[in-house]
Amino acid sequence: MERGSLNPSSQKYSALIWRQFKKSRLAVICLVFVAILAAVAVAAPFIANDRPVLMRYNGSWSMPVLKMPVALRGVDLYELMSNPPAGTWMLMPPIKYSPGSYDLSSVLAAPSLQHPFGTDGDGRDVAAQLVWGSRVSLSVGVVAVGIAVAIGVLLGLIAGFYGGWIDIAVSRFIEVMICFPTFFLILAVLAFVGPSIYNIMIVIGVTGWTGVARLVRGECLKLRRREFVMAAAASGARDRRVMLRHILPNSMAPVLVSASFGIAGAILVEASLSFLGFGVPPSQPSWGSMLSQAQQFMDIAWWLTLIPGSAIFFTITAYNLVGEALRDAIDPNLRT
Amino acid sequence: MPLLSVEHLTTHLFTDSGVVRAVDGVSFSLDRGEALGIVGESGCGKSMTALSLMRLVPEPPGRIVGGRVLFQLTATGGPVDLLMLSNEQMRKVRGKRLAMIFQEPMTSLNPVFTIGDQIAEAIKLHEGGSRRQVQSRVVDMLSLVGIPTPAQRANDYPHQLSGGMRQRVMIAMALSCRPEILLADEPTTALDVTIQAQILDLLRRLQAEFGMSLVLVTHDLGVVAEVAQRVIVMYAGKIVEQGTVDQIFRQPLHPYTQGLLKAIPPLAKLPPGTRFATIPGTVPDLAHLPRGCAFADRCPKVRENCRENEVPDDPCNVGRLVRCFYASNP
Repeated sequence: MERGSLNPSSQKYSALIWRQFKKSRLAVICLVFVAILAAVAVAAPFIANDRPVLMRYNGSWSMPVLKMPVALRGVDLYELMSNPPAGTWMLMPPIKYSPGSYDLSSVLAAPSLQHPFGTDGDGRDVAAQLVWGSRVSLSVGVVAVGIAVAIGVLLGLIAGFYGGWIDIAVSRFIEVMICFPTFFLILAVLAFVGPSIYNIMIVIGVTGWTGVARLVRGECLKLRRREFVMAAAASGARDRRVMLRHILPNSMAPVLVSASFGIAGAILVEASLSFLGFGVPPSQPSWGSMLSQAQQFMDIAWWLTLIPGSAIFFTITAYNLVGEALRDAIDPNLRT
Repeated sequence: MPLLSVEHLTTHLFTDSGVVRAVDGVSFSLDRGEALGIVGESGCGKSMTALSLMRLVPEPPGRIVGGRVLFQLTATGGPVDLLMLSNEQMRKVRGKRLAMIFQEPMTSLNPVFTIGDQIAEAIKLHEGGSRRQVQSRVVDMLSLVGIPTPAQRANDYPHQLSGGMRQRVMIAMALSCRPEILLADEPTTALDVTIQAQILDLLRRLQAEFGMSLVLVTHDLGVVAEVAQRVIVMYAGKIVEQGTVDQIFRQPLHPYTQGLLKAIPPLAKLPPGTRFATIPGTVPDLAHLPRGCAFADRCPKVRENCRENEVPDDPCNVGRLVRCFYASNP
């Protein structure tokens, strides 16, 4: 019990969790994968683009990825690239294609050095679409789950803390929400409001909070009778403070697990919606719409299904494993 | 004028199996600087009484249904009934005037914050001050309760401390705003015997130092004998005997008190074949109390009228509360 004497230097709570988390190598690999994915999503324009990242033309530097310089307006970049005049220098992104650039000379090209993941039926580079599609998938996952967690935590805390008729009202509301076939509700709502990435985020978030609310309510019911919560009240803390500072942080472990599963679920829902054509507009590449378009070439172009399919699979698996490791790391009962 | 006087405090738990009379018309008073012990078996309403004074009865199912808790909040004005205060007014009393420590030191501290943060929170709730001032008071409190190297310990998390240390931290937290009354609910029950003695010493020392009143809820008569000046014996939600430590231990008049005292394990080895004295039976179901004296079923002196009439405070006129028709020396 007297562990403090073994570690005279006290640790931060986050350091404690990190030390626990690190014990699972697989989880660390998954976390790195998720981090790389996030970096790719943020940096997509610098990774896959048909414009140079940095170029020197007519004696001036510019970053055409961000803003096309006035001097280059009307200039055929492709012409410039294949036949650069003296004094012109350009640094291209690792993938030299935009998701929207059609290369009709190489339609349905198998993976090669030029197109590492091949091209689709319109001659678009699959790697470029994959990189840009990660933006949609990740942002939908994170924002939708953010909305769901915010609603769920709020309602769950209030229901669990105050109990009585408030609890009954919230619990019945949760049960009603659970009874809806969520996916069809989302489809129906999107049919009305029109498919845009923001609508998808909101609809998934607003329908996906019930699990979090139940978890938080349960934790809150359990923690409300715990002595440190009583002690906080006994030292004169307001309800809000007891809830937010003493109950909420102690009920975050299951929420985090649920959130990482939720992100995985939201990515799947978005992919399914895009697959069905209710997702993001076709101008915006997403993993789901890539799969959808791959259907017609399934028997001749395996890379069109394998690549986005694997991306979805690995992303979801990584989130799930990170969530599980996080749960184990946060649980003080498992701490050794 | 007592610092605190409790009049007919009544707290019920409204459960599915009926109304549990957890605290059933309890009256007592507490002077400034006095230590009062509340003893009784598990489930006799001791803890509920303490929680009722704090107005922290878990609700639902509990509710304080009657009585008054008069607290001399100001030196000049009259006493204030804590049960009539608004929630916000009561919040200002909790921790500042009336503090409480709990039984289980393992779960009495929030596992996600350092102990320093938790004591600082208690201070900031009532007194505020700059970060540095609060921090130095945290360190003062920790050293006051006997925690070595307090400045470093303040950054520890509860799981890094032993049970006795955590109970010290709890005491530091409860006393951080110098309350006039400390309610200690079984403060030593979960601790080793040697640690118990240290914690009791600490409580006694701090009580004297702060001039604080102490209400000690326990089922351990030894603890009461050591710390308290006056004792309340509770049974089935009611006070059955009240007196000074001397009266309770030397002249217990209620059969229940007598039974409790007999059940203290003797230090000498029992001769082989003899059995350890116990009170037969268990505390009755508080939701379905029999008529008359609740102790009747377990009482060696029970007679007919015990099961028929409600027993008044002092039917035998012994001069203090002894709720028994046949109060006598054993």
